[in-house]
Amino acid sequence: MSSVKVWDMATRIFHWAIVICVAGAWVTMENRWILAHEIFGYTLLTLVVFRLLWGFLGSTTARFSHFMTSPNKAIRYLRASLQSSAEHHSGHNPAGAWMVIVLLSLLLFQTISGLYSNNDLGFTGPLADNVTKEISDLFTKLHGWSFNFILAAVWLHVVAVFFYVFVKKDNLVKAMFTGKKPKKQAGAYQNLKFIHPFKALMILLLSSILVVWLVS
Amino acid sequence: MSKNNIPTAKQYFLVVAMLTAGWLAFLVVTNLELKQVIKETVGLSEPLQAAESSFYNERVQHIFEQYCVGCHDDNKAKGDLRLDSFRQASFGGKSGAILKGGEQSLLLERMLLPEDNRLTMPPYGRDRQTVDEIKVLKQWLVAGASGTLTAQAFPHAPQKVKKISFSKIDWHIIDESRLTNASSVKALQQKYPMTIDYIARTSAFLELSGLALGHKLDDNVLVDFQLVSSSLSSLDLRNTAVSDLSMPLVAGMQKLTFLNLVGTQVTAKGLVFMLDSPQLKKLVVDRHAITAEIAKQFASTDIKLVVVERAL
Repeated sequence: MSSVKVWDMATRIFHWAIVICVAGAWVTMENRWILAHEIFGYTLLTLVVFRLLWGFLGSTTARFSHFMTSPNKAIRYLRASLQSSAEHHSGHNPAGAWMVIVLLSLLLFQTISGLYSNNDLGFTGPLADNVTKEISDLFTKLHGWSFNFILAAVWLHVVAVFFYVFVKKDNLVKAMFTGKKPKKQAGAYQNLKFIHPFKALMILLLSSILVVWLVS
Repeated sequence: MSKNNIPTAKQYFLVVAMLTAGWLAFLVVTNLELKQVIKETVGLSEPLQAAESSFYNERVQHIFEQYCVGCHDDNKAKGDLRLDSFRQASFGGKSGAILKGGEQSLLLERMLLPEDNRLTMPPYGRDRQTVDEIKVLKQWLVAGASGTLTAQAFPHAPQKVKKISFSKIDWHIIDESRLTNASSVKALQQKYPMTIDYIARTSAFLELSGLALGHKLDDNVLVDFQLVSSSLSSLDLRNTAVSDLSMPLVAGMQKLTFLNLVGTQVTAKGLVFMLDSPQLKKLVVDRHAITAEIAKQFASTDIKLVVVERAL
């Protein structure tokens, strides 16, 4: 076999679901379709909660313990990447790992701040009544501003991914669809363990229950 | 480009830098406020603001403040639109420039939408502009949404409505001011219905009217009201049986501002006591009660003497 599995289905579906939901949240806000925006928000929050849980309970390449490194190691890795001397990784590389953390943090803040927001037109987030109007307005403002950081992070992520695709000839996009990478680009793939999708479904269900509990 | 058409890292990031720069340049070019700041900084433009005496400041800004600024100010710029100043209104918002196009401007379009339209401004449920306010905005927009034209350039603009506002009433303070005489007033009202009451619901001053009692109100009955004389500001004793004997009592009412003695038995002799009334502004009397002498004396005071030729 010339390629090996590196990403489980749960991680891949999660990734593209996030892409769809972030785009959906953006479009619905631009068009003031607030109820649809709300649904995308809840979905995003559920996905983020799922990913956080999957980071502890999921397949090897999905676990934080597998890919998290120190910032210094990430910087050294980036330098090596630019000189085309960086080693291959089966899952997230050190720099990509920090991108995951940044994006998850931004998305978590974005979804939580949305729960406290309002649009002054009769719509309020489910937790807006738990704070004063001034606090809710502050969250609304931050919710709007932080999306710019998400856009910047997404741009950075896309730049990095296509660096791999075009310069390093390491097709990360294809890998995130198929779950597979060529053996020579898969790093230490021999001991990867993949969790059954059923478990992922259970964790997704748990995440949904947690989010429903939070917003009701 | 290296062999096999694989870009080098340098080439790739050069393209990325160009794309990023292009995107940032696009953001700057489409950001009218940023463009204006740059122009003003390098001296290519005067500061964008409305003249003090402009029609905008006099008429238009008030409309924005009343209906728009709650959601469109620096704290909360919904749709990236601010209407808290001429400068900010000129920059428009996410939907574009709102002041251009005269009657076809986006501002007017949104304000004229049916109340239940999701794009209408102000949104459904909020106070809406009056017909005259829309006329003011329309005339201003048709004239180019100027920040310099004065009201003279808008001779057909509807008159500015004087807004009357009432200060909040503190009933506690009013009750306190009435406390001293409250029980006496109540007793007198029960004894002499429709004779004594407060001059206003927010006042502690009283008015006494002899209309209900008529001739039953004589000097002896008037003495009963001495209890509340410190608060009496108006005495209408028309056609009562009050005489000169009551004038010293009446003159002692320090807050009295109005006195009507038409049809009573008061003469010039009794009126003399009223010359030194500290607060009296108006005194209405019969012709027969006035002598030339007393008229001359009242002329030298601040009391307006109204002489009735014939009592009803």
